[in-house]
Amino acid sequence: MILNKEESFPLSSLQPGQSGRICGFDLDASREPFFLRLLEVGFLPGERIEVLNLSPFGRDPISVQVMEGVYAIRLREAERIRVVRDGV
Amino acid sequence: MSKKRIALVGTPNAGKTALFNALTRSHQRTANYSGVTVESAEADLALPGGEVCSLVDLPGAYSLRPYTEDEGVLTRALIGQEYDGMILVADATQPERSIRFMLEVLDSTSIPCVIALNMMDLAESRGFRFDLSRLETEAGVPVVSCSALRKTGLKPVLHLLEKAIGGPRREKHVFFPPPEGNETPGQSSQRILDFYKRADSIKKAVLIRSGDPDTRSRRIDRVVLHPVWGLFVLVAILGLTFQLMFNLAQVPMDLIEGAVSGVQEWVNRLEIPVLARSFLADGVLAGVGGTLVFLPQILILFSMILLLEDVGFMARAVFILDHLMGKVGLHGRAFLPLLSSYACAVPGIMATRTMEERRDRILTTWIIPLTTCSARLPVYALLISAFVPNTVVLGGLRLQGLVMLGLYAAGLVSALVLGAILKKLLFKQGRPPLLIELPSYKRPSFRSLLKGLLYRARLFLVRVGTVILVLSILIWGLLSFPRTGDGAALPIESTYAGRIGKTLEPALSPLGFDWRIGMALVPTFAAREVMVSTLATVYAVEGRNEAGESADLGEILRKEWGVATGLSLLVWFIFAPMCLSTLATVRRELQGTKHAVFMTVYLFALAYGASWATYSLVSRWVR
Repeated sequence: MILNKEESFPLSSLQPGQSGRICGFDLDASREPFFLRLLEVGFLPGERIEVLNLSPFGRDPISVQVMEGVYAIRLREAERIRVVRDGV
Repeated sequence: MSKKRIALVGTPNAGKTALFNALTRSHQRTANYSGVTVESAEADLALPGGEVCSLVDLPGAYSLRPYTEDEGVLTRALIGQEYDGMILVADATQPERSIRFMLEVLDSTSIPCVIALNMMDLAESRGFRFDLSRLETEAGVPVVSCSALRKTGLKPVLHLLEKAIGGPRREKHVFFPPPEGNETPGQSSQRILDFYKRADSIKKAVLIRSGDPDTRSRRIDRVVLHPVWGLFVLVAILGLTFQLMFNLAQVPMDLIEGAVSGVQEWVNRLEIPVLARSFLADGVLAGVGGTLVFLPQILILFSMILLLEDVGFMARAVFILDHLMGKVGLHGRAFLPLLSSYACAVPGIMATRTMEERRDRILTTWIIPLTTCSARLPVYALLISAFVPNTVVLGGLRLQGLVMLGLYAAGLVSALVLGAILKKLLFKQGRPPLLIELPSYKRPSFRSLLKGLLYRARLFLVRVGTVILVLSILIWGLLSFPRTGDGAALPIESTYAGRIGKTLEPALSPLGFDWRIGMALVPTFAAREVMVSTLATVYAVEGRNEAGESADLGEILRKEWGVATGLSLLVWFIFAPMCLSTLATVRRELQGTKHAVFMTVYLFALAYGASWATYSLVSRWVR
């Protein structure tokens, strides 16, 4: 499930209004169920993902748009979602 | 023959509950599923042909591989095939997710089904166009486009449902996913990806035109989730909620009190035996009336909660507060349970079901009794009016109001501190991840709101009519018996209640509580608010011997107790006596007596310690 491309970077490095394409996940075993749930709601490799807002406290969690849904995830997990620049 | 059962299934935020409310007319019941009670509704559904079925609003889920305890209910219900038919609610504004969920459900069960493609009005206004007959072919079941909010397309849903449940069961493909999840994560992700390909090809065939993104929600979020304005909005909403709860509720509360005391006076003039009069006025009416006055406050709080949930704000509140809540070990989702607990801990604890991780549920449940539920309010109000002077302090604020606010704050702060301590002691591993959908903002449905409120009101009134009524009568009995041989009343310390109070006195005297308070504390474990009516009865029963007429209870207490005792009792109520229904709910929800026992012990210890400290300190300074 790890499609680590050279030019990929973590989702957490995107600012509100910026977007990228999901290319893979840095998984550890303890978080697998969570990343499966992400897949189920549509965080699929190749999908466009856009950061919309940062939470007022601590800029964590962040809200992102994937497919037609908007979801909140924490930075810790956003660090493990690898994205590439949109259009690559 | 028993009624046919129809399941209402769908993804979260697909408008399932709105559809439920639009389709059903009659009253709701709490639905029970094997093993757990989920606070989810069940109501009668009249089919066009006249048959009445039972429609069950199953918890929403993103997939049948359950992630929360709530979602497990749906999976078990579908695989268990315990329904005669189902309405699958799909969100037309989220075709990808809806089609995936639809395929998964249809593959996993042979229950006859109709698909209600909901929120079609919104989807069309954003430009979505569907080939519905193609979708029907792909799904193999009838598809109806509808809008629960605008009540369009509802009749066809029922017509087709009627036809479907009259027909044969559908052919089931495979159990999908395996019911008890014994596939490896690698297999799971492969399955999900394969599944996506299938869903995606169906979507491409069915979706003629994809809609524009929901820019309105984005614009609203730019304010609501703004670093500064967002906080402002959140504080304003919470402030408004509590303001309404305390000020707006005052009028109906006064009306209820007036009505109850009117009936009491009428009873007292009846030409019936003294004992019967006392039974009706002091036992039944005082107890039931004393609890009934909370109805307006509970309804106001719940109407705010239902409204915020309905428009889509609750998920935003979680988003804003998650980081702060994390500091004290709580999940952002603990916000809704904690807010509900200000009305009553029972629905609060039930609301913890939406948390994925058990440790989050446990921690939230543990601290919920520290939030100030509305049953504590009359006790606070009585004690404050008796022991806190209503002087004007800083900036025109009244001291009594400030103390009330302080008691709320004390409950909240101790809940947060306790959360932080328990987190440090018991849950050393990091927080489990968060994933919460921020749904599109929606116009609230007043029908849904009204139905939700009626349901709350009924739950409450049933409690008043059963538990509270029985307890009030029991307490009256303890206070009125035994009597002398010729039927006259004995002095109160010789009644059963008095004897209980006397037995407790040695344990409670370090807190400044005498046997009368001990006696009044006993029934608070059933319902805190009974304290007020018990004290009223104790002093009225006692007082009537001399004066025949009872003076203002607050005044009596001021004369009878010292300030130290009054304050000590106030502090006691911040922590201790949670009611039995809370403990029963904890036991049921966390499936363990040990949690209920632990909570009882820690709350008692806190209450005893804090009251003792208050009494010792205050009695040193005052008097």
